[in-house]
Amino acid sequence: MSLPRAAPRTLVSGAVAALVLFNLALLPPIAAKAAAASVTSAAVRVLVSGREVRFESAGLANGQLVVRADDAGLAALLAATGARMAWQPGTRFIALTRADAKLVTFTVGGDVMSVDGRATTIGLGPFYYTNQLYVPLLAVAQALGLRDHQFPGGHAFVPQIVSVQRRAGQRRTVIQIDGSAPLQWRAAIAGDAHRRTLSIVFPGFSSVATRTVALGGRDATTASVRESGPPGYPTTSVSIDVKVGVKFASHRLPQGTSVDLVLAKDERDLKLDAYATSQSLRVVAPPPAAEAQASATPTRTPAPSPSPTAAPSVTMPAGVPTAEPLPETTDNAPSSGPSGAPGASAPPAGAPSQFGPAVQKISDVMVNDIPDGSRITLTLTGPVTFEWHRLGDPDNRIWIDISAAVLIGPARDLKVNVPSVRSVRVSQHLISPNYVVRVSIDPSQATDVRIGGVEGSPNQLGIEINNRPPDVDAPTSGVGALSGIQQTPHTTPPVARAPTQQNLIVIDPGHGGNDPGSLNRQVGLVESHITLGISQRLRSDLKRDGWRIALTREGDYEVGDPNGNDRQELQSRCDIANAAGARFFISVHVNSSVSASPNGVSTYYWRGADKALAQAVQNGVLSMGMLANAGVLRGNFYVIRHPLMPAVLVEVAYLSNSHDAALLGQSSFLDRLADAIARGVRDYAGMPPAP
Amino acid sequence: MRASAAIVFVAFMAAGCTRHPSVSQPHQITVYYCQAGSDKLMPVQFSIDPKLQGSAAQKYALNQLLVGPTVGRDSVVLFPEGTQASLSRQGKTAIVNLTGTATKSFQGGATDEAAMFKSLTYTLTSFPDITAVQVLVGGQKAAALPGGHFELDEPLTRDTFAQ
Repeated sequence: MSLPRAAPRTLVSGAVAALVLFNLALLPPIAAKAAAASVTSAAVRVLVSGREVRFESAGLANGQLVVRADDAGLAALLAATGARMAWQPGTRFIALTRADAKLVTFTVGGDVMSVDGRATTIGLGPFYYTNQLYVPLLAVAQALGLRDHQFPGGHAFVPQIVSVQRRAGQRRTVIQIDGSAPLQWRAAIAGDAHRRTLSIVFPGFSSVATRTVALGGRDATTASVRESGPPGYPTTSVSIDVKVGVKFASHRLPQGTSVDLVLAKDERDLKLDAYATSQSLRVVAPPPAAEAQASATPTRTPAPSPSPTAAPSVTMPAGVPTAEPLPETTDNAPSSGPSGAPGASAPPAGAPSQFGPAVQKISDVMVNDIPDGSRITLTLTGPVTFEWHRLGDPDNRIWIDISAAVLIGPARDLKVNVPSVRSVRVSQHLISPNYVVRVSIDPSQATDVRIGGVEGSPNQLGIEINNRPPDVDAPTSGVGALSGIQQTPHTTPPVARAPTQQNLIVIDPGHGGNDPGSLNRQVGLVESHITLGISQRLRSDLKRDGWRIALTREGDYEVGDPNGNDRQELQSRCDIANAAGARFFISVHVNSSVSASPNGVSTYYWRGADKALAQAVQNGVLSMGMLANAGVLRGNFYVIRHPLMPAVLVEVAYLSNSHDAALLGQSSFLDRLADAIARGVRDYAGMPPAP
Repeated sequence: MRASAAIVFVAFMAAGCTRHPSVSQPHQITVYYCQAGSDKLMPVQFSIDPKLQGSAAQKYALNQLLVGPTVGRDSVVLFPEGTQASLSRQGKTAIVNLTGTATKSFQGGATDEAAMFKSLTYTLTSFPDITAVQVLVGGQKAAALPGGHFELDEPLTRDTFAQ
């Protein structure tokens, strides 16, 4: 499948050179205000969420702890709290942003800090000293909602559970838990047939308020918030008294600092409309014996299915989402600035922006090679207008100002495949009086640049830099608008990244969450659990060979948006591989038939080019000598049609066949099966290339 | 077990038969069932009232596909029991709207699912004025059946199933 991207359309209109010069004159001067403080270095230990963070440049200025804006320790602190700093040399504004749209701004040389629009006076604001920008560390921690626990010789910054509130709901109870850093949690249900306690535990989090929240009594009576453990690394637990028969789901943004717990009797009510981008994880409390027979939900209990009278204790499956939903792909995303990782997404689409109603976010900046040049693609949350200017020879600089837009993350310096271009930078040019994101291009000679929407992808703005001079009569400035933007429900844009990550394989455990796949009730096996088990084993095997592996899901939940339709669910699986530019996509399934006799392994491909990979995987499994050969087949299946790299779907065996099902119930067989698939990959691809 | 799926336009057929006692030879249609756990087609011919022409014959075939063959039912893949289907046309593309059980979570394997849609496509495209089949799920275009694997985005043709 080729890249679904057409050339951007050029959007132009006339303008005058005078405007260009005028605009240049508005560029803010570099730190006109003189440094107000001097810095003496200081040895200070800092712990963030229990981990030591080293600051190379820590010092004291006017008695306050300050660090340089480019200190790696500051970057680590921001990363731990899901925040990013936007600042570019020469500007007076520093903005800290977080996925929940928290916005903290400072003015260089000033002493005021604004947190979500509320200004507070701080003793010392950011300032220049020996041409370096310093920021006050404690003020930054405070602005990000970290509790400062001081100990002799240092500070422990502890993220907090900021609030636990009940939201109104017709047929369900929604408990919103907000934190000051991306939340990680464990959940467990304990109790007896009459009384259940659902505990959500946040290790490393303190709480702003330990209290009890009334929950109305229909689905649950109370939620009590408790903090325990040492003050430098405490644990907050939220204990909810739930009624018997109530089910629960949790929803959050991949990088999100809040989680919504939904309690409801009817599983359909567990879905939340507000989450355009979220991961869900769902555990259904096992029904008490009396309800077990009547339960309409087929097999939400883990396999092998426990007897309904077993101790009603369910813990989260292994795949509790962590702060990094896809650690394998986030650390090395190619050609895409620091926030290019899939999952570094904006808050829910359509949610009111804290930057103002009309301000859109730029959640992703990508660079792709095109014939004779490069294309920069900005992914936006909504319609924007922009204007652009091109200076005449010999300056030749070009810039594009996108109005009412906020760049999520730091400024990006991009590498483009045009030799004459010295630099390309995307940055938050202004945050006051308006939010303006500027893309500045600095070529050594006049260069053809075209700007426009990206066909078939209405939420993206494309900027093409071509390795040729512009037409003689090409305009020198213009304005344009990107309208008709639809909110995209996908976590990651379905865009191929080039070059691909040659050593990354995406493994897709079929089904999950509210879609268990095939079932064998006699032996108590559920397809979605088996596919995850095989995929996790396959990951270990291939990692030993040196591959980098990403799984599309890590637990028993739907991939992508839990409220999404089936298309979004399936597409999200493909998007994970497409956005990361993986080398292969292997979807693992377990077959099932209405007839008990079909058995054996079959591997499906769609494109002819993928048949060799399918054959290799099939041969690997057949080499076990345990499963019949049901063939290598072409199949019109969604998850092998939509990845942009070789993709196969292996149906490892038939759950509906007694011979195969007996094997699938054995953990040792799943080990061998994963080994066999890995052998097939090895035969096809050899060892991974050096990273 | 796998009792009759929904009846499509039986009333129409009955009325047609009573008003027009057989005055001409019956004509034949072919319903392609598909063997479970494979993509092997099992064509079955039905002799139907010659008055059933055009869309009426197509609806009859679709109904027979849902109901299943009278013999060898256990070895063929049928749409899940309780599935209903309505048929309309747009040019040479048949629009089949699946409702009922098929719109609930599909729990079969990919092989049976592909077989199901292969039998649907072959049966309807056996009529000369149908070349493609667009499947709707609950009246909507869908990527796949809920819980399913088989892509339903584009109209299905016999080429979709070519090996």
